[in-house]
Amino acid sequence: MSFIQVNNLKKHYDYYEKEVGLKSSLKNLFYRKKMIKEAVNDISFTIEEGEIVGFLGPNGAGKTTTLKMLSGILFPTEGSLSVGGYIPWERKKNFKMMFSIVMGNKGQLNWDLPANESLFLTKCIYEIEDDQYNRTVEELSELLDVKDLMKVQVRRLSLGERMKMELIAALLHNPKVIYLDEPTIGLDFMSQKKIREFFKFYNQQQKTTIILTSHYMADIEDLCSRSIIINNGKIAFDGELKSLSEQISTGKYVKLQMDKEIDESELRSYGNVVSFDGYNATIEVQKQLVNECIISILNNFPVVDFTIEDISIEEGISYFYRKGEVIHETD
Amino acid sequence: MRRIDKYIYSYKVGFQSATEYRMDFILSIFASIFPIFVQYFVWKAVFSATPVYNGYTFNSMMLYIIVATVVSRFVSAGFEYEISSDIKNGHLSRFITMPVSYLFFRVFRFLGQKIIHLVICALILICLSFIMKMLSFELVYHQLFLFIISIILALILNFIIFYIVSTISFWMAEIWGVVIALRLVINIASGGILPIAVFGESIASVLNVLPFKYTISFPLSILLDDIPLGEVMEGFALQCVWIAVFAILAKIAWDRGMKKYIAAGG
Repeated sequence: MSFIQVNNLKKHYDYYEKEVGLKSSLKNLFYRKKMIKEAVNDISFTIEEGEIVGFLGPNGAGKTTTLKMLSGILFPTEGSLSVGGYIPWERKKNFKMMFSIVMGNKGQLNWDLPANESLFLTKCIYEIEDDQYNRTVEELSELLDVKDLMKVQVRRLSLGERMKMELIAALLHNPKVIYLDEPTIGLDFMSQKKIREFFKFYNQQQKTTIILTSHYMADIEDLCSRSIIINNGKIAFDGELKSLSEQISTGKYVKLQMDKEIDESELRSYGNVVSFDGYNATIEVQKQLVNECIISILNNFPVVDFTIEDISIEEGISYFYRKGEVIHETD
Repeated sequence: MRRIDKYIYSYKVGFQSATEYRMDFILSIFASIFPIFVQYFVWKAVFSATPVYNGYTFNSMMLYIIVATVVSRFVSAGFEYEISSDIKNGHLSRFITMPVSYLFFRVFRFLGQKIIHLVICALILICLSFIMKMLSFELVYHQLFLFIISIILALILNFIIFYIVSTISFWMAEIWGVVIALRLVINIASGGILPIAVFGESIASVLNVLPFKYTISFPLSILLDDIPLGEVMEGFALQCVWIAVFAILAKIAWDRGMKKYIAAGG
């Protein structure tokens, strides 16, 4: 059995719609149309111990809802789920002792207290022994380079420093699995990099299972050997990001720059025209045909410059984002 | 590492916040002086027609009203909005993901606050008894020790009742109005404003069956009415029964609410 097992998980929310204006407010007093949002709609996956998996998806795709079900905050509408042999929403104490969730936009630290005070409360909550506590705080604050800031009121820390403190608080009890919901949100490039490096190291040292959601490609590319793309509550892709472009297309992008304006229709015979503005064009060409196409194009068009590229990961992902929408519209 | 340490921490937080907001508590008691003034004139008019009304003289009525005001402030919960905001803003999630019980967190915090409130209420009652003596009220305090036991049980009962009231937040986003209304109704039904006997026999017989009178009216009857020991013991037993019943209800309401919880934000 895998460490994390998710089968046909669904979460539906009820909500009500209201039109703008006083009149519809009054109308809503007597009759409200109940709407159902399928935040997570039938997803299944397994994760092994020690894996780092990235959750990708546009805003509102269901990533956070999934994490909340994995941590037992939400009850699923349907489906089953187990983490390390526990069912999260039974909220057993032993389960709580083995995981941690860090929300980038909502910390657990008290802003009015210095970080070490909040950490001490966390120590009390997780019933951590003194020597283990001292050792862990020493180690982690050294690694994250915040040793001098422990006595500073959290309010006065920068966003990046605060996130590092949040991470220390989340890792105090040495969890077996960590959920990171956008841990690098709003951080500058260097801080993002530092936090990524930290998790890479921590995962190697502790063999901690990590599930990460992020909108920064670098986070995912750097850390996660495996990514799950969620869109409209469904899994659109599950695998290595590198293989993503191969999966969606057997082609390459040929980008051309012309010194005279040409007609788009003339290019269509070579492949799918992805973008065109008269002088610049991107054509998706079958891999085995790239050579012929280039020769032919160079002979027939006023080309100043050209490049041949693989379809980028970002483009691959946005393909899956769009794909989800299409599925949603037709069903 | 002891398990109790995390709750001792929340006890201290409650203690600190009550120390911080002590003036708020004192002022809320003094604010209740104005309704007492109104009552003073109403009862003066009533007792000018009859010396005894439903078993009360003017003096015993005023004594009841004044002591009831202080006691009802003391046993009051006052955490409904805090729980509501924890539910509405998603802070409750932390208690779900961490090995710490929300109930115990609230209980210890409540106890921390009540220690301060106890000191304030005791001081006020002592001052009041001096003032009233000067105004030539005859004061008879019976069975102070039994009164203290009944007050502790009343405190627990009231805590649980309002813990249940707070769970409304799982189903309603804004509970401000509901809480105000319930506080008032429960306070009246508890005998926190007037002695229950005043409402007339039919209403009083209903209120006597309800649990609410065990939060204020019953402790006061021990202190002021010199009721027989057998009745006091019976009252203690009923307080315990109601505590058990409401504890079960609170568990049911809380479990249901938790299933409904949507962990807003983030």
